[in-house]
Amino acid sequence: MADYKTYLASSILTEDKIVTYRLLSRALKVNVNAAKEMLYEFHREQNGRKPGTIHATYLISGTKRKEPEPTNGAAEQDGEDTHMQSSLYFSSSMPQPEESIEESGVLSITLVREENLEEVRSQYEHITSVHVYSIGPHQLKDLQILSDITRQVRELTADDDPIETASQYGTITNKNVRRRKGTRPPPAATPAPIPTKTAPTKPKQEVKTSIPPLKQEVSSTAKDFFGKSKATAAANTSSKDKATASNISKESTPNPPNLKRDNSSIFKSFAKAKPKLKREGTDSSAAADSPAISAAEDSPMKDVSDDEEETYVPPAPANTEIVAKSRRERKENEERLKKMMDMSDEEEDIKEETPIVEEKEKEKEASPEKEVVPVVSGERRRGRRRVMKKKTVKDEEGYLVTKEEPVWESFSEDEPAPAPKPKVHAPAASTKAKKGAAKQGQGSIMSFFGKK
Amino acid sequence: MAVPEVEGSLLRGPSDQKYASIERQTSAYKPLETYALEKEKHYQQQFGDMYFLRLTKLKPAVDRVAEEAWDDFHIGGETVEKVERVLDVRQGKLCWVSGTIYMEMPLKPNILDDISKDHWISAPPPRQKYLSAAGEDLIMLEDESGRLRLVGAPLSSEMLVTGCIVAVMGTENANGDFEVIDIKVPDLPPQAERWHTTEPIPDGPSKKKMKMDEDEDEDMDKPVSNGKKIAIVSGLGFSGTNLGHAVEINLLTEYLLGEALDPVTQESVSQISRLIIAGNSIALDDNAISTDTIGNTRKAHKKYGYDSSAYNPAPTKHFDDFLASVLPTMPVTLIPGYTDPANVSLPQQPIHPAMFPQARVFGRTPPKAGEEHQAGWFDTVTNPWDGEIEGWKVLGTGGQNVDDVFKYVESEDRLGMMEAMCRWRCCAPTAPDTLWSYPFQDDDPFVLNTCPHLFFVGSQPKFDTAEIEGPEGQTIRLIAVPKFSETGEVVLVDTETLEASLVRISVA
Repeated sequence: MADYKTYLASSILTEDKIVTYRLLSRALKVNVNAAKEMLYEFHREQNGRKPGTIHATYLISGTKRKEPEPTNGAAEQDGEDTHMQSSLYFSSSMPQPEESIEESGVLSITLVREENLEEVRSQYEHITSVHVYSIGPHQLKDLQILSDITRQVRELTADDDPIETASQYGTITNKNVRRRKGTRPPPAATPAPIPTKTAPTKPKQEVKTSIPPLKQEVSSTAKDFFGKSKATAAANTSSKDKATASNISKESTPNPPNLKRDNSSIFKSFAKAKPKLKREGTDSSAAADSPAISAAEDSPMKDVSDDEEETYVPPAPANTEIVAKSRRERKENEERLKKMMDMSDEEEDIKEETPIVEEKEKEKEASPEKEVVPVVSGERRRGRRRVMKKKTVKDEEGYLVTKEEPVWESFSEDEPAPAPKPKVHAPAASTKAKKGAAKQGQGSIMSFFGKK
Repeated sequence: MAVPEVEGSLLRGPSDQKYASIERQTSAYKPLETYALEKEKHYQQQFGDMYFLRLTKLKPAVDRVAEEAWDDFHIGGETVEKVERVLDVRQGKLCWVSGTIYMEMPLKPNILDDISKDHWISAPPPRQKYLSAAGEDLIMLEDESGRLRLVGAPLSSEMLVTGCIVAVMGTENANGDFEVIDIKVPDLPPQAERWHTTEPIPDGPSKKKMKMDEDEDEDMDKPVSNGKKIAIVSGLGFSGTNLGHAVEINLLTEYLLGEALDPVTQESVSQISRLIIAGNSIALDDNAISTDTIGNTRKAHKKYGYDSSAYNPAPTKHFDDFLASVLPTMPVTLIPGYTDPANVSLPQQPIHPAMFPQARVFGRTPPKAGEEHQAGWFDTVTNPWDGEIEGWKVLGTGGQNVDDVFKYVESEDRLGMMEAMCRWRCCAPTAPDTLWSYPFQDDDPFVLNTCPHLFFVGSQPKFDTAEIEGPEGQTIRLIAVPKFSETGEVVLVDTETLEASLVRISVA
């Protein structure tokens, strides 16, 4: 109880701080009312010794006199009442704005500086209570500074349970208060959810160890991309075709850079599983098992995806520990993968031949305004899509005019090179075209996941 | 320095006095979910259905009132006759008809104008009033059959807004306009008694009081206050840029906690059993928006992305701090308002507790199987909101409904508008015309089926209160709750007498 003087002296005189009754009560764990008295006593003693060293603010409550009331309410109200609409159906009991809102019914609580205390007190008709609110070494220019003390109080009591400590400080307690049980305590003052590096590595590990089926599935698809690009080279597509291809929806694009981006965006949907999966793909084809290589592979992909708006979390460099731990598992996986790859490569080769022929035949019959109707032939989805083709014509004045024209072409999901048929001109209504494009995009994603 | 001679003075040296801890009054509370929308909301519906629903719900009521008043009513030897539809009004024949008021006002926002002007000018600033000074406003009465222009002296003295249901008596003149002689409104809906659906909490002192009250009710005496109160505050206005009233809010917290002032006042504060926050707890930060548009270089780059640097978490953080300090001592009902982070269209749905990381632990716990759904200690509710507090049926809004009616009428009398809404039996008549609203299909919840005992509206320019009475002895206590950020005022409502008093917090 007596050490409040030491505390106040050190805070105010030495540390040049302002102390409110709440801060004092929290610091010394005393009742707020006792804290108010302590502030008063300290203020009186210090200023008794050396006037003007301590400046206080007071909190006054009571009823104010009517005249000096600064709010313009009363005057305005009278004016308003005169042109109040006299209503026929309201006239029976038009609300009489009760003038009982006179000042006697209002409890006015005013925070006031020591210097203005007398002035404010004279505005009060009846003062019900007054106490020292804060004391500090300087005269406060702006009382709003005191709101900062509340923050300090909050910090001081951050670890306390307000319900348990309430009676200690004299806060009104409530026995009916209900709180959710078992919930974690609210986050601290700065709940900055910064993604730490440890967070991404964990799910990665999980994926690796606990979900082998998913991994296989995805890695087999990853392989598909490689297979495709190989096939692209084999197809020996012209540069013109390549330009066309780049306009086609990304999922089935054989262009190498696009392929990479596809990888990254698809892998994004698998969250943090990405780097591992990527390596699985390379493991089997290039037999490269070092984390360094996989990291190197990751970085160009990151660059690509920088163009996109999605926030890309760069994968943490592969942990050697994890690698060592799961080496055995991986070897098993590799084994399985290799088997799968061999199998599907063969399948692919067989399949690749037939659809192209089919497609060509189809194109000849195709009517120009066709909607995209994905046809599932065997395991493959087929359909039509609209692409922009460059077309150069000589106009009346003999100039060469290059136009971009929408052209329909059919495609097959696993077609490496969508052999375009520029002869097919599509005047198609734009709405139809859009629909078609959307459908097509969906179809390709479905096949991506559906591939077994 | 002279020590003021005040009984509640704590201007004295520390004594060894033990301060007893004070226990807060319990709160009997049952929120109703009248205005809660389903999780899956559809916006394809037409708004016209709302007018139809409102008319079908209120037409019988207004017809009954009109029949009582105008049955066998003679003017110049002619008897007034009832006409079913607006379209059936015949020229020169004295009749009465009921329908929905529609105000044709050139200054009212018009979606078609907005679209046509969109290409040339920016949107006009929101108007203070839709009223045209030149008197170009037309008042129409409409139902599903057609529209009738109303003219005549009674209109100038009436408070009429789009969407209210009335019955008018008069004749159609040569111009095809309806000359109004008299107007009737549905008037207050039937009122249930106190403790209609809830039971008073068997509590030591309050039970005794209840018994006393019952005795006195028999004597038709005024109920006696037992000092128990609820606090209503509106427009706390937590802002990210302007902290001009931070100390006032701190003082409010300390007052509600029972830490400020002397033990006698603290004892009376413990009688405040609940805090209701009626809208606009978060202030609009116009400043923040304008700086955003200037510094848009970054924005242009981030075309689709969400620029998290533009987000200022300070307002909700401060609000959360406020709630977290008040909640351990008293339950809080949080009604959203126009500026709060909830949907804009009425009925505004509860502010999500995830906004308040500290306060949400006091929120509603999911009811266990077989357990009755229990209101949260910290209850974030809809706007408008209705419920039962201490047995009284309470209806409260964040203030948009009155603010919008205010734009239609000449009057500045907010209480008059609140009363008019009660007598129209519709707490948001101007929705969906000028007040944004959900397109209801099956029911118009803004129609008041039962009469509340207490009707409060937040974010009003000044405090005002009145009691109105209905034809069947219904009484409603109306309270216009001022903005705390501007006035520093908190309304205390006595839970026995429903009388309102004021606490004004200021910094000299």
